[in-house]
Formats: sequence, C-alpha cells, structure tokens
Amino acid sequence: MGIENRVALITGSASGIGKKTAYRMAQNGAKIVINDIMLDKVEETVKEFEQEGLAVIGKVADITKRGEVEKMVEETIGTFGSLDILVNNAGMERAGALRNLTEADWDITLNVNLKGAFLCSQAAHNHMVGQNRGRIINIASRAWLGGAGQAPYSSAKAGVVGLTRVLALELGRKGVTANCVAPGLIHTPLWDELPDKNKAFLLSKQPTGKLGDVDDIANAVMFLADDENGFITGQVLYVCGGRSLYSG
Amino acid sequence: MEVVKDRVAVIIGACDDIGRAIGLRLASRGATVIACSSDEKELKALVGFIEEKGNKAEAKLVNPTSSTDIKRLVDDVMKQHGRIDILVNNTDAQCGKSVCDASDEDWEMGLRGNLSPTFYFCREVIPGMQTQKHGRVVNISSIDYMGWPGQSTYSAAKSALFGFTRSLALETARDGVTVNCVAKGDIATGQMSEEQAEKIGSALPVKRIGLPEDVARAVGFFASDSSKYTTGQMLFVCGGKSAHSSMSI
Repeated sequence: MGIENRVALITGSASGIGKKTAYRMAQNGAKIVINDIMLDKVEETVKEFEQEGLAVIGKVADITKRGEVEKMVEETIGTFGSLDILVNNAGMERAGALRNLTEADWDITLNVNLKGAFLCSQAAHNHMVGQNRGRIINIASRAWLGGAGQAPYSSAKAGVVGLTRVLALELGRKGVTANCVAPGLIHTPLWDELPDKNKAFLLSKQPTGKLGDVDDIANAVMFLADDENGFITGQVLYVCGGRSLYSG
Repeated sequence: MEVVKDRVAVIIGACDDIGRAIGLRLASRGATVIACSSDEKELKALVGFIEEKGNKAEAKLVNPTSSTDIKRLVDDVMKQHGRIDILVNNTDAQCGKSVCDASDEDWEMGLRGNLSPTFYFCREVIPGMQTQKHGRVVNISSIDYMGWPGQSTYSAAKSALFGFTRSLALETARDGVTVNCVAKGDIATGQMSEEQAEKIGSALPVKRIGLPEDVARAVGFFASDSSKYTTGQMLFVCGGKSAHSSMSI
C-alpha cells in the first residue's frame, strides 16, 4: 500500500512545492515524472534525483497545449508502463487590482492553472479508468476563497475546485479519486523575495502566525495519493495554518 | 509518514466500530492508546486485543456526559503519563426522529450525546497541550451535518461540532495545537447486513460503502505531525457523496 512503485506525474515539478513533493514521493518509492516548460530546469532536477538513485524521468511540456500534454502522458506510460498518480501542481499568478489587469493576465493565469489541470486530467483519464485505479490531486489554493488583487488567480483556483468535484463524481466508480490540496502561505523562494512590509502584513492575517513549509504540502499530497485512501474523493484539504477560517 | 510513535492518544467512544479502528490504527503506529468508553466489557476486549498485538493501550471507564467524570479521567492520565498529545472525540448518538416527532429529551440527548463530551474533554485536555506546545484534536463529525430528514438533532450537533472545531482551532493556533474534523460518510458497521451495505455503497460515487478503517486513516493523518499546518478544517471521508453539496467546501 502507500505509493510504492506507483508512477506519479507532477506538473511544474522542477522547482518549489512541486519539486519537493516529487522528491518526497520518490523517497517513498514512487516512480516520478518531472515536468516543466524549461528544459534546463527539468534536466537539472532529474540529475539531482538520479544522483540519489531515485526512479525518475523528465518531460518538457507546456501543459496549456493539448498535443504536448498527450505526448507527455503517452511517453510516461511508454517508459514506466503506467500512470497512477497525477499531481496538477503547475501554476502561476498575475496579481493586481481589477482595473489594472489585462486580458493577457487573465488568459495566462486561467490557462496555466485551470486549463492545464483539465488537459492533464483528460489525458491521464483513459489510462487510469482502464486500470481501474488512479489518484488525481490538484493543487488549488486557499486563495480560491477570494483575495483582493487576485481576480484571475482566485477564479482559476475556484475553477480547479469545481473541476476536482466533477472528476470525483465522474471517475469514482472507476477507482479514480480526485481531490484538492489548498495551500496557504508556504515558505518558498517567492516568499523570500517579498518586501518585509508585505511579509508582516500577510503573517498578521495568519492564525498560526507562521508560514507552512513545502513538506506540509507534500505530506497532504502523499496522504491523498495513498492506495488505501480510495474513500476520500471530491474534497479540498486546506494546508493553510487556519487562514481559511479567518474572516478579516 | 503517519508519525504518532510514543504519543499519548485519548480516544473517546473507543468501543464502537470507528473508535475501535482508530484505536487499532494509532496503537499499531506506536501511540499509547487511552481507550475511553462507558462499556466496561468492550473496553477490556479492545485493550486486550491491542496488547495481544504487542501495542500499548489502557482502558478508562467513563460516563462521557459527565464533566466531573471526564475531569477525573484527564487528571488520572496526566498524573500517569504527564501529557496527552492526541485527543479523538468520537461520539455518536442518533435519534432518527423528525423535528415534529422529537421530544425535549430527544433534542437534549442529541446535543448531550454528540456535542457535550467533546466540549468537556477539550476543556480539560487543551491547557496541557498548550503548555507542551503540541497537540492534535480530531473531532468526528458526519456528512449528516449537511441535513437529512429525521436527523435534525444529529445534524444540529454535528454542525455545531464544525463551528466548535473552527473556534478552538483559532484559540489554539499559536500553541502548536491543531484541531480538525473528520466527517464520516456512509460507513459499514457491525449491525449492518451485507445487502444493506451493498445498497448504500452502490449509491455513492465510488460505488462502495466506507469502512471504519477509512475513517481511521484520516484520523491518523490529522493526529500525526504530517498535518501540522492544517487546522480548523473538515475532511469528508464519504466516497464523494459530499461533492454535490454547497456545504462541503
């Protein structure tokens, strides 16, 4: 049981939360597919994993393009013989007040966060249904509940939650579960780049007064990816230090 | 991943199907289980079963609706072990009557049976967790909190548990204590026939009824250090049944 020998494709896994999740899954015996849009980042991550003797391959693909996604999934199954766990992690944000956002901001945010999850889920779907087993874990965000200046991102992540619930209802009978992990404030390189003033403001809204770390997200993903947890589907698991409770 | 080794885990309602599965799960991963129930015979059997497997458990007879009894129990455990790391509030008292048919006693019993023990236990246990800067509270709610004919008192109590969980999570967020709910869906119990279980399961998105072990694994996650950044949340273990409802996000 667990995730041992399962094949896991994690999108956007050449850095940050995706990379750590991939690493933890590999340490727990899963065979990993690293994906990113940048060839050098994929190669570097694969090399790091290989040096530790972990089972890994890399796939460069733009998840907003159906052809590239389908090819990545086909090649994954070609190499490892299966695809058991899909973690739709790749994401990005264009933030700003509504009046300042461009159409391009909206399109790219929706495409990467939502369309990418849709295309990857669709591409993985046939194989998972065929083997009567699969785990789809979508990385949403606490921000789907709403955040000033986050119109495209909140909308996209809300879409991810809706998509997840539909996948759960459609695929449940085929042994495939679909769940969301919704991170809050997590210590990533992006956090370190923020001005101190912004950090202080964000932490003041945090019930725990602390950041989470990428391991917290990896733990939640692995819990939902576990073979044994087939009775949990269509859910949003918040990993946000209680921020989703806060009404201010 | 599910690290609960050497933790002291108090489980309320330890002798029903779900409580038992939770006790076995935590004990098998190295926790010392303090099994609490009002059923002396079942308690003895459970503790014996856990010990036979080489794991640690103790029986504590308690009236879960008596705050005095609960205070005495918690004091005893603290004297003996010096700490309580995990508290699982697994209470379940169903009435099954519609609002218009339920008596005053049915209403009071619904709240007293499902809600009061959680409040009493948390009140006694939380200060120790705050002092030691570590604690995990897991409350067992139910998908019926969303409302179901004939479940008004039960739904009211199980909904209240969610509000309680969120409030307590905010009160303890800076103390290393997490408080979460696991909302069980349709779970097979010993009293259920195979036909009944199959019929109920076939109506769920995953096409099978849940098992007490499904709930126990989710409790194990929230009881462990793996979930330290999740607090105030409700996780449905319901085979996707909640995915149609506005109250499950």
